[in-house]
Formats: sequence, structure tokens, C-alpha cells
Amino acid sequence: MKKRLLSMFFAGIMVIGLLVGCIKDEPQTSKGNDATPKTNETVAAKTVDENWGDMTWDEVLAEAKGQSVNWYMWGGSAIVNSFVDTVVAGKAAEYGIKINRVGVTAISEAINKVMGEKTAGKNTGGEVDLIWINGANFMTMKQSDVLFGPWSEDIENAKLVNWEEPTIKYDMGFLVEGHESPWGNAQMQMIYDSEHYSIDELPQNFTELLEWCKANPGRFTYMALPDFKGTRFVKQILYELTGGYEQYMRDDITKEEFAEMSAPVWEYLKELSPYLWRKGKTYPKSTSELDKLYSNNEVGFSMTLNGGGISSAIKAGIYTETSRVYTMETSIGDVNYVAIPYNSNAKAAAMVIANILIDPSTQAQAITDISYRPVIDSTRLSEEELNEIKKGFGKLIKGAYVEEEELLRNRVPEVSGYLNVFINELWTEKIGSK
Amino acid sequence: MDEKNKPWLLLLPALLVIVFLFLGGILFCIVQSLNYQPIIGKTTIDLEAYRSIFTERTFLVSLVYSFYIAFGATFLSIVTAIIIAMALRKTFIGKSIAVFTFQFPIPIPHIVSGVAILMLFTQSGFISRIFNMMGIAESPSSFPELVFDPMGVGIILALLWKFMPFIGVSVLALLQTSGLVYEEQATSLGANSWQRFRYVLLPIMKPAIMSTSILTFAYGFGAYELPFLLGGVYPKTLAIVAFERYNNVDLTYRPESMAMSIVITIFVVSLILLYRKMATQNS
Amino acid sequence: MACIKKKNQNNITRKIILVLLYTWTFVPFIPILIWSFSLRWNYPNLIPEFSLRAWKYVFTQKNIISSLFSSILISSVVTAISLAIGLPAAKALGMYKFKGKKLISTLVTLPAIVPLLAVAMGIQVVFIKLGLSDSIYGVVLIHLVPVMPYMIMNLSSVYEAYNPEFEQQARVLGANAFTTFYKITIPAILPGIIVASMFSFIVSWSQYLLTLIIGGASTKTLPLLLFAFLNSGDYAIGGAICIIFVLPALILLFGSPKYFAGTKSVRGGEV
Repeated sequence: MKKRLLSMFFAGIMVIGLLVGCIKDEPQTSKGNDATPKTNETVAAKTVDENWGDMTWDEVLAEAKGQSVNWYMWGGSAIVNSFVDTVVAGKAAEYGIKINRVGVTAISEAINKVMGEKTAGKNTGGEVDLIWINGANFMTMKQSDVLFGPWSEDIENAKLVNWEEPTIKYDMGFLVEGHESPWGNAQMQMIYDSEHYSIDELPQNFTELLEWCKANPGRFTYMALPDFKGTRFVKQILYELTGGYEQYMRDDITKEEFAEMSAPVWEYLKELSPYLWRKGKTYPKSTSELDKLYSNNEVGFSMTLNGGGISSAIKAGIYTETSRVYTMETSIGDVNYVAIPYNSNAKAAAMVIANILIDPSTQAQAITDISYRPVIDSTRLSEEELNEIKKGFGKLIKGAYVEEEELLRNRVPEVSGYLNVFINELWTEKIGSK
Repeated sequence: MDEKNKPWLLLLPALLVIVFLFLGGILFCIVQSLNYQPIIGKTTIDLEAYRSIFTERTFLVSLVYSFYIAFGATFLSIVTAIIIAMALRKTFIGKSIAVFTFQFPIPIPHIVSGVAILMLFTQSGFISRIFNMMGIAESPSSFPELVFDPMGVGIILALLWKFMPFIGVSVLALLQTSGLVYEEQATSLGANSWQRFRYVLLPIMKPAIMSTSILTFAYGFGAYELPFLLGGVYPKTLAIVAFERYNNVDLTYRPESMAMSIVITIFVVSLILLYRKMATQNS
Repeated sequence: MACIKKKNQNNITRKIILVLLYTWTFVPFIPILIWSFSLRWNYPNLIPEFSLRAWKYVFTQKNIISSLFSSILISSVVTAISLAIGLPAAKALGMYKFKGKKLISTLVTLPAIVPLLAVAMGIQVVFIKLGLSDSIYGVVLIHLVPVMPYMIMNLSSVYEAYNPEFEQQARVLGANAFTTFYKITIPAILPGIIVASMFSFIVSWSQYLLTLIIGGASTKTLPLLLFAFLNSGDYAIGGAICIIFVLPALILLFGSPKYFAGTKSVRGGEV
């Protein structure tokens, strides 16, 4: 009896042992390396962790070689995923850097991870090496001291960026101060199908939108907050109905005060809701749900933040071929950034990737591949680089992107990102849970 | 080694897993739900999180909603399972294929059921397009709202696809064995089909129905994947609300998310204990 | 006459029910299949703009292949461990009578019934401290919680039907424990083990929420990937992944009809 027991256990353990051995060999997501990169120098190589501030760009490149970067970003766009996995990864490979793109549903997953690591005292070898981030999330991380920096104004291509430009200097009202590096320009645009509507009959501002919805009931809706685009949509209404964004550029507005200031918005949305899709009783939970409604012509509009429009999305089959974009008279624009957590072991490689992202050829390719709009300052580019960018735009579908002049005319900044929490809560209270 | 201890030794590894992972996990969840947060220096416990959620409209609505979904899906599954099992219990040509089809959904992952409902029953889904082709529905909005709607119809349908065969196969097994025997007896005693069903077959099916529907109800009550895929903005099921709060970057919501999970757990455990009590009473 | 009329009525009713059953069971797979071959498939089209984009993506993209591999690996290991732990436990429950058996029996099956959200959320803190969070080891451990009870329940019924006299006879004839186990016990319970293992594999294979919480963002199993694509509205790739995702279940269904057909081998727990 005893023997039988033992033999059963032995067999089991053998099986487990074999399989565990298999696991150990399986390539796990490699964290930023502790391995010292190979260099030709006989002198002890400089590292970002110890010598940042005293390194040349070549020394950063040398340290970066052989490192592997876990880049956490929103994984909801197959096009962007492909771009990172092929174009960016290809360029990184030239520097001996490996990118491990980790797609998350909400970037809060990555933030929680870093915060959790800090709480547990894990100050090196963090899981996250690079993170696509902005706004309130950036503020949370910066204020919690979990970001490495300042670094972004010191990388090689930083000279191509105009750091004084307000939309770059401030991320939703928070001072960037070199703790993140820009990589794409975003602005909210409305998508419509030119086969069903001509641009002249479409509402150009939110007052007109209300009238349009009354005349075309059930043909419009917006993402349920707290989806990022939904919040932004409502914030635009806030600016238009309460006299502009400047009044919100304070950091001491309480929820009560904001509820008063934003009262016209909630009245507007309440008035609007019966004319929305499904009579406003429910809202699409995400961008992709709204996109589906739009593609199936259940509603007439969708929205995008892509600075370069929707050409790539059309090519990927997400929108119909006759889809076009335009901006409302109040259209929030901002910048996408990447940041580096304080406990990453691959800071050098992460910086190199950030550098690659603002390289003119990458920025040009981003236009055609993912309909991004460059963040680099055109006045700082050479003739050749400018041409590359122009060619990038040339490859886009006419009408599927908004001309720079219109973009700038309607563009307003997203200020005081902390107010977004109030907007989300108030929307849920007054509209979302009815 | 004496025989008395043998079973305990055999059970030891399993018990270790249960105690450390299962019970341990629940214990840690309870502790965190009691607001014990040493990270911010708080080493006292209180029921603040529970007080907070039970006075919150969203939570209470979700509680009722989860119950409704679980009950609705289970009830419909029981009814349809009985109908089909009754139809399949006798021998006929093609029975083995029919039974195979009946049990087909059992090992298929729930998510697949959800994907199918998503593609079939949305207002611009496959079924709607067929209606459109047949001239019944002229646009997506003419098709009924079955997915992303507050009644959770899509969710219930997806659960039904999985639950019905699960309950039905157990019922069928009983009908084919003891069911047939007693049925014959009842017929020879002169009972009509309704009487046979009501007084002979139904009681025979009861144990199978009871044991399987407890499981389906428990799953439906704590479901996350299907309500997430197919549900609307409001109301949301308990598991979704709890998980959303768990993921909130603002850690003050953590205890509440833990409390909600414990509520789900306690509810299901109570249900199981209740069932056990009823089962022993009946036998 | 009345008898025959009744029988025909029953036949027709049954036929109708059968047609509904076949439709209800198999139609769901049609749009999934069609979507996987689509570029664009908008209302009101019943046929999509055809494209192999999704399948190309699925067979060539690194992240999909590694997800598939992760899923297979995790589910296999979980099944193996559950079998090693479950066999003795099932034997104890199936062949012995002892005090507290009812309680243990309930305890052991509880994790298969109770929603495990609390368990995952609760134990995550501990896993982080132990370095198990965000790793394949942690995911394997957490999968044990729903899978092991399932395995034990399935195996118990096998043991309950098992006749211990065969073993005793073998011992009487001089066989030792190991030989007895190999030559007598295993062949007798092997079919049951296979079915139990396949079911357990599928339980682990289908896990979403547990893997999401414990595995974090770095352990991507197939259901997580599927969810991500569905969420982002890409039904084409979602459909393709879905089809791959169903394969183990199809293998079980078509590979072991003998063990499957409407018997007690189907027990408790939700897949």
C-alpha cells in the first residue's frame, strides 16, 4: 500500500519536473536586462542609472545595445500594433534593441503594476520599461515619483521638437518637464460617410449638432464615459457652452464648483439624449463599438483622435472607403507621449526608442502607416526631411485627413486633466445611470 | 500505515491546494475588504467598505441585475432542457446524432458562445441582415435590441446556449434509465401523458435539475466574460463592477472591490448550503 | 387509431424540436467562420468582402503564436499537476469511507462552483510578494483552483465504479504495488483518466478572468488575446482566433464519443 502511494507520487513528481523544466526553457517575457551589454571599451561602461547627466548620446547607444524593452501601450489598434512590431522594432533592431510590445486594454494596468512594484520596494528590474501615456495618468505617475527623468529634452532628436510649444510643454495642463517624450499629434475629428452625407449638411458645432439630431433622430451617439474619447467629447461641449477653456486653467477647482460651472453641459446632454441612438438609453462602451455602429450605418458618425485622419483605418477595412473626416469648431488637440518608469532596467534602450519615434523618417512613415501627425517642428527640419513628410501626406486619401490650417483653426488644448475625473463622475450620475 | 489514515494522506496534496490557494485567497480578500491597509499605515479593520457599497445605488442595482441574469438564464435553460430531453428520450432513427448535438456545447468555452451571439443578434448582426433580406426589418433599428441592452437578453441567450445542454444531458440520462421504467409502469396503470410527466418523470428529473442548476446559477451570478462582451453600459453585473473598481488607479477603491467579491462568494456559498440542506431533507 | 395519431403527432413534434436543436447548436459557428475570412462585412451584406488578412495575421504574428504556445503549455501543466494530485484524492473519496468524508467532498468541489473572483483578487497580493504575479508559475497555480476539483469529481466517479478486487487478486498472485498499479489499475481507469484530463485541460484553456488578474499583461493566453481583438472591434482576427480556440473542445467531442455520450462522465462544474 505504502509503496503504491509512493510510486504514484514519484510518477507525478517526475511528470511535473519534466514539465517545469520545459517552462524554464520557454522564453519568458524578458525584463530589462541585468546583463551588461558588450562594449569594446576597456573602461567600465557608463550606465543611465548611475551616470545620467554625464553621458554622451553614443554612450547611451552603447549601453542600450543588447537591451530588451517591455513597452506597455494600449493594444486596441491592430494597425498601431503592427507599426510598432514591424517598423519601430525594425529600427530598434539596428541598434541591437529588442522591443517586447505589451498591449493592455487600459493603461491603468501598467500604471498599477509600477505603483505596486514601488509599494513592494522593487526599485530595480521593473516590469515596465516604456509606457505610452498622457494626461491625468501622466500626472499620477509623475506625482507619485515613479517616473524616470528628466530625460526627454536631452536625447538626440529632442532638438527637432519645439519644447516651448504649449501643447508639448504641458500635457493636459501638467508640466512635462522632460519626463516624457512626444511621438504623435492628436486631435478629435468627426468621421462621416460621404456616400450618405455631404459636408455642407453636417453640424459644425455642438449647437448645430443638437438641431441636427432633432432632425435626424437616432443617427448620432457618443462613447459612454469614462472612455477617453467620450470624456474628451464632453469636454469640448464644456468649452463651447461655457465660454472657452481659459477659465479652467486653474488647479484648485473642486467638484462642487465644477458641477456648477458645467451645469449647461448636463442640461445640453439631457436635452440631446432622446434624439440619440437607442434614445440615449444606452451608449456604446468603446470606440470599437461606435465604429461598428458607424460601419453598419446604424449611426452616421464616429470619432477619431488620429492626427493624420483615417486613411490607414480605411485601408484596414475598419471604415468604408467613402468615409471622410472634419473637425468641429471646438476640437481638442493634444500629444501622445512615452515615459519611462523609475525602476526600469533598460532606460537607455527605452530612450533610444523614444528617439526613434521622433526621427523624421519614422514620423513620415507613421503618417502613411497609422495616420499619425508629426510632432516635430517643421522649421527645424532639413529640406530632405520636409520632403519625406510631405510625401507621407501625399499617400493619404484626400478628405480622409484634415488640412493643417483647419486643424489649427479649431484646435483647443485639453487643460486641467484632473477635471476629467469630475466629468466622468458627473456624467455617470446624471446621464449614464438613468 | 494504518488504513484509517490512508484516505487523509491521499487527500493531502489536494487539501493543501484547497486550503492555501482557495481558502487562503478568500481569506486575504476578506482581510482587504475590511479596510486593512498596512501600506498607508492603517492596521485596523472596519466595515467601511461594506457600508459604502450597500448604500450605493450602482452596487444594489448590479446585485439585483446579476441575480436576474442568473435566474433568467437558469430558468429558461431548465425549461428548454426538459423539453428537449423529453423529446429525445425514446429510441428513434438518428438518435445518436441528436444526442451528440444536444451535448455539443458542453465543452465549448463560454467566450465562443458570447462571440457567436455578438455576431448573430446585434441590430446589424447576421440574423438582422437575414430579416432585412426577407423584407421583415428594413434597417438595423427595426430589429429588436437584444445585445447591449438593459434587459441583458444577449447575455441570457449566450448563457442559455451553454446551460441548456449541461442541464439537459443529466436529465436525459435519468429519463433513459429510471424514467423509462417508471413511465412504462405508469402507462400500464392507465396514466395519461400529462400525468406521467407531472407525477412520474418530473420528480425523477428533479435531482438532476437541482444539482445542475445550482451550478449554472452560480456561474451566471458571478459571470464576467459574457456580460462584458454583450452587456450595455448600465446596469452592469457584480463581477464587472467589482473588477472595474479593482483596476482603478485610485487605490482607495480596492477595499470596495474586495467587498463586492466577498458578497458574490457568500451569496453562492449560501446557495450551495441551502441546496445541500434541501437535498438531505428530501432524501 | 388514436394511438397512431398520437405517435405521428409526437414524431412531428420531435422533428420540429430536432430541427430547432440542430439550428440552435450549429448556426452560431457560421458567422464566426465567415468573419474570419472577411476584410469588411457591413450591414446589410450577407456575404463579406473576402480576404485572408485575418488568417495570414494569425499564422504569422509572433504574439498570436506565443499566446497559443502559452495556452497549451499552461493547460498541459495544470492538467498534469491536477491529475497527480487528483488521482489519490479521487481514490480516497471514491473507495474509502471515513469520518468527515462528506465535508471534504463538499470542500473539494467548492472551487468549481464558487465564482473565483474573490480568490484571484485576494491572493494577488501574496503572489506579488512571492514574485509569482505576472508570471507563468502564478497562472499555473491559480488555474489549479478551478481545475483540480473538476478533475477530482470526474475521477471519483471512475473510482466509485472501480472494483478493487482486481487489485487484491493481483497482489495475491504476487504482484507488487507498482506492477499492480501499472498493469491492473491504470488500464481499468484509463478511459476515465483520459476524459477527466481532457475536460480539465479545457477548463484551464478557457480561463479568462483568473489569467487576467494574476498573469498581468505579460502572460497572454489565447482567451486574453481573443478578448483584446473583440474589444477593439476586429471580428475578422477575433473570428480566426475563436476557431483555433475551439479546437481542443472539438477534439474532445469528436475524439471520444464513446466516453462522452450522455453518461455520468459529465459531472459538475462549468467549463
